[in-house]
Amino acid sequence: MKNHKLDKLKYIALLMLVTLLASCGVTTETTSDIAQPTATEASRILTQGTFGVSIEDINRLQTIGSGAWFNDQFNQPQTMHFDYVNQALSALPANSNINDSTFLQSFWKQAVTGKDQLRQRVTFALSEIFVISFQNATLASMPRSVASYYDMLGAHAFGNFRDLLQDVTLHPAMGIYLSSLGNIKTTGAREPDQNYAREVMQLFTIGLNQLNIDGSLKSGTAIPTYTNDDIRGAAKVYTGWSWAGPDTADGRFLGNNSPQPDPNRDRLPMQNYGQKYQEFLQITNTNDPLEIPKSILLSDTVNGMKIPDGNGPDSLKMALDVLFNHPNVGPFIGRQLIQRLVTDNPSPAYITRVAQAFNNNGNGVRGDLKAVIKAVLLDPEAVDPTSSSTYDATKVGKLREPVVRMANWMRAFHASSASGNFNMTNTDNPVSSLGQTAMNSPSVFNFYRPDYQAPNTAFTAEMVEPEMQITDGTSVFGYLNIMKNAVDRGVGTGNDIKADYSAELQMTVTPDLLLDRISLLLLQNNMSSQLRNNILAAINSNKNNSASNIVKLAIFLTMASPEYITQK
Amino acid sequence: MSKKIDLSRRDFLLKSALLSAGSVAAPFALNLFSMRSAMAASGLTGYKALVCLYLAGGNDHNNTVIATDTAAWPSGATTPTSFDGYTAARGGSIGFTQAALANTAITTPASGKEKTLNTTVARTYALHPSLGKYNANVTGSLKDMYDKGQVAIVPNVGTLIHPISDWRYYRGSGVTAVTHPTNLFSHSDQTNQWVNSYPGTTKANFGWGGRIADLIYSNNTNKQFTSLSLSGNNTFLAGESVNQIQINSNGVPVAITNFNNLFGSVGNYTQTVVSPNTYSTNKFEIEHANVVSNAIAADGLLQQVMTATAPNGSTPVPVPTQYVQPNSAAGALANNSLAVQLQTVARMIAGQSTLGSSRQIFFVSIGGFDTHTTQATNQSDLLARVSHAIDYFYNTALKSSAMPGGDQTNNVTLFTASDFGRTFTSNGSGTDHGWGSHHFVVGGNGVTAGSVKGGDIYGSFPQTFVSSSNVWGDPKNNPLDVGSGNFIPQISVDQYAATLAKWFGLTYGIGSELATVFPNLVNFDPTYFATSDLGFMI
Repeated sequence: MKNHKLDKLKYIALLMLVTLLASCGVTTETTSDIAQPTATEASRILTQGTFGVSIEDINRLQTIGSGAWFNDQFNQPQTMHFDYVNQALSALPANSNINDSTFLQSFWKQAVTGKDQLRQRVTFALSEIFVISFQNATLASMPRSVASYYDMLGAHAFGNFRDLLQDVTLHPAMGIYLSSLGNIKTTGAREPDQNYAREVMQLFTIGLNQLNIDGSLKSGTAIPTYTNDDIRGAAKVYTGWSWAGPDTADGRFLGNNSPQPDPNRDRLPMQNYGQKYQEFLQITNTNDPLEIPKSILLSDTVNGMKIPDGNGPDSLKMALDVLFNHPNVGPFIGRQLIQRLVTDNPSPAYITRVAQAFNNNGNGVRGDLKAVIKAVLLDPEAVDPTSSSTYDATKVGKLREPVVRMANWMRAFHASSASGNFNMTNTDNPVSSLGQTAMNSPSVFNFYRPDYQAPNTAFTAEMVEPEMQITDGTSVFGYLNIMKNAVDRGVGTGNDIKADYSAELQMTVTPDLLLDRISLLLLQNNMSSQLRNNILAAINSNKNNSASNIVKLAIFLTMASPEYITQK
Repeated sequence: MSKKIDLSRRDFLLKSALLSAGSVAAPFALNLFSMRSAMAASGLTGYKALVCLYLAGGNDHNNTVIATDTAAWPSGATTPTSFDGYTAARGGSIGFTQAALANTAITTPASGKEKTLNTTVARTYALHPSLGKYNANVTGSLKDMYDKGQVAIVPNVGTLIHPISDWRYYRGSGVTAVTHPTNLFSHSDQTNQWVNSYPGTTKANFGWGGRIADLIYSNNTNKQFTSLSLSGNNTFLAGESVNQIQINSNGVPVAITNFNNLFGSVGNYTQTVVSPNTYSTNKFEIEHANVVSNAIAADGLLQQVMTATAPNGSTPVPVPTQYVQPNSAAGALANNSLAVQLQTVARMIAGQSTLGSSRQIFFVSIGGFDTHTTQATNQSDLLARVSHAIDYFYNTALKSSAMPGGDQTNNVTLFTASDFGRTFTSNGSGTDHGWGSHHFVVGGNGVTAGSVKGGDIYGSFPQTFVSSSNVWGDPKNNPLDVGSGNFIPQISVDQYAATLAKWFGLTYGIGSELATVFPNLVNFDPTYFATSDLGFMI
């Protein structure tokens, strides 16, 4: 079905072009589209760039080519989770318990049925970098705000990273989650809250150590990007911000009921409340020899700066500009997007290509996320890792995260919701469910760290395997349990979401054809002969089995197999 | 050796052992690994368990154990007293008044460690009100247990590589800086460093719990039941040889036999598909299959021990009561999931003979301690749960008839750990990331001396005020303050951990098992505790 040799030549030519241009200092688009993707290539692009593969999407992508497919996806109107949640909440009886369920319905509905698949999948990846969580006691009852935050990530997924950074910083849900909402300037012995000042650097932009463009440590050693004094100076930048509203009354800053809170304050960007709350001066107490000036990356003589006396929005803009322009952002964020969508251990060259796309989209624009996404998903290591000179079959890939495994099944088999609401609730229980729920990370450090290394394993010392952090002896069975039920009867409240196996049921007389189809939908057309033989043995163990049972058996065993759980 | 060699993490351990046999000075870590096989402790008697209670997020220690003394320090007339310094930094927002602390005041014995180590002025202390009987319906508390000698306090413990006496050696101000751990104040890094005892190499992904297990598992019939986590994968229990097993308080996973004859097939093809095979070469596939097969192997015995009536004949471990919510004016009750985790731990302890275990290490955790905001209510609730859960564990579960001998309190030592302490300064309604912290070690029956020498504070308690001068020797300068009232720890995690490990049965002294697990201990005691340790264990 696939011509490896041709593919390889195509990629080698592309690589040479990129290398040539890079070495000449010429800036250009570094990602090439694939005019006529093979079914395998289409399956890979859709596995990595959407919530799952369907036959229809494979056919379409093969027909129109990756250029048109990406353009189509970039131009798909965004389906707003906020609208769904807002509508669902308004339909609830008064005094209903407000929790994450309406957001989760919308999440699954869009994951399965959204036409803006690329946006939904990239948004999910971004939500695992710019983390907020329903586990926060305040956000737990604010699904409108979380939905709006998620939509904001989605809106910027195809925009510019600088805008994303601005809106992440000022979204009230982030303000609540990392306690920058209501953060007050230095007052007597009290210092500003350091929470957002720290995590925006450690997790959202530059990371802890200086990086080369290929993601490796600069000079081969850990050179910190900032000190704790830098955090104290930067904390002053993120002061004076609180709820949006028509005025800047004290009561509004403090979140009181008077003046009347703006009904949309849970989704409007935070506003600055001026000198009463915001650190206006670089130094507030010139007699205090220990005071750190308002600054960003003060100890960094190349990238950092003192922030001059002035108002909050200006200070914030200067600080975020410094972070945005730091050379770490491309490799730091690029590597994580690769990990979330494609593979846990990308080669330095792959990270370089993505970071270059971040630094310059070909038209001199830094932070263009469309260019970054295409660089991630159309890289030779994504579309055909075997073409890479660093390809190693033993190390390639990543574990699919549990939420994505479930979504893959729904999309492959055209799942629909009897209620129309995709009634999925929290799926955290590792004994009986997925051990993971969207927007329900235990902390701002996500469900797993990008540098997690599972101890005492066959993984080599330089490898990382983030998803192994939530994989344990309980969760592996929880997944089998929920998947068995889903494949058989459906999933969600009252098995609200059920698959449509009508196409597969036609194939049971020729099980090999059935497995070819499942391989294309779930395994990027790469089912091993051994897995195939195991499933055939299961099918053949009962010659009188029903077509329905045969289909379920084949799908469940495929999804239980390590070669499905590993996306490679 | 310059050629890059592709070693798996298992191979690395094996091969490094061979390398260090040569005369070339091997890297430190290699020496460490090489000592393993020669020294595995065996022949330990009796049953012992260590329980790590992890306070995730970084507990604000400054409101957990509070210095309440008001006598002026002799170093200068303007030096704040401890409680004045506390009030100056925290009063009006997150600080307690003396009156609020009256019911949780604690004492230290006349000739005890605290009195010996804190001689400048007479210090007095109190615990957070939630650690006492804050409501008439609270039946037991950590404060009560301290009074009965079941709880020891270890003050200002933190990640260190070498001792750092004051901020000049931290900043290299007029003196040569002493190497301190990397990425202080970062959650992920400090969490890792706290439990791996290798500050400076943040990539080290093993924990001292796991490495202790590596040395003692031979005392157990089943290696796999040596390290047990109630809170998912964690570095603390990550051994180089022993794999941690995860148990969920919601129950144990369904048996693989549940997949027999699935969807009309005849046989168990699920087991075939999920288990390790001979054809996968991809490491992700291999390791996922290994996780599954380990779970299958452990399942049968875990089912037995988890079954309510099983462990010791017919008596189950008692179910924990609900805790009284300290923020509820009406004293409303709520479930305490930490107590449920400890109930599950108690089941494992009760089932020690079924599991074939004579040494076990557990990990339980409770999150939410990253109190940048609304600390007063949040920490009150969290510490009330901690107090309730520990009281349940020691004074109900471990003394229940489910236990072998009817009482395991002397065999089980629980200790707290956390990412870091928090700033002494307030940010309005919360606190930020810090360094040193105060911790609790719990054990014994509260009647006779058994394991933990409770009712005392085992270290020098810092003078609690924030510097308002950067001049060394100025009374307004706190020698330990590195900014925001983050005090330099004066006890290293290694000392704290090694004292526990010594009680657990590891050999001590130069060339001992303690030296293997805690290589940096030498910087604090060149004899590796040959003659003394922190002193809180019998």
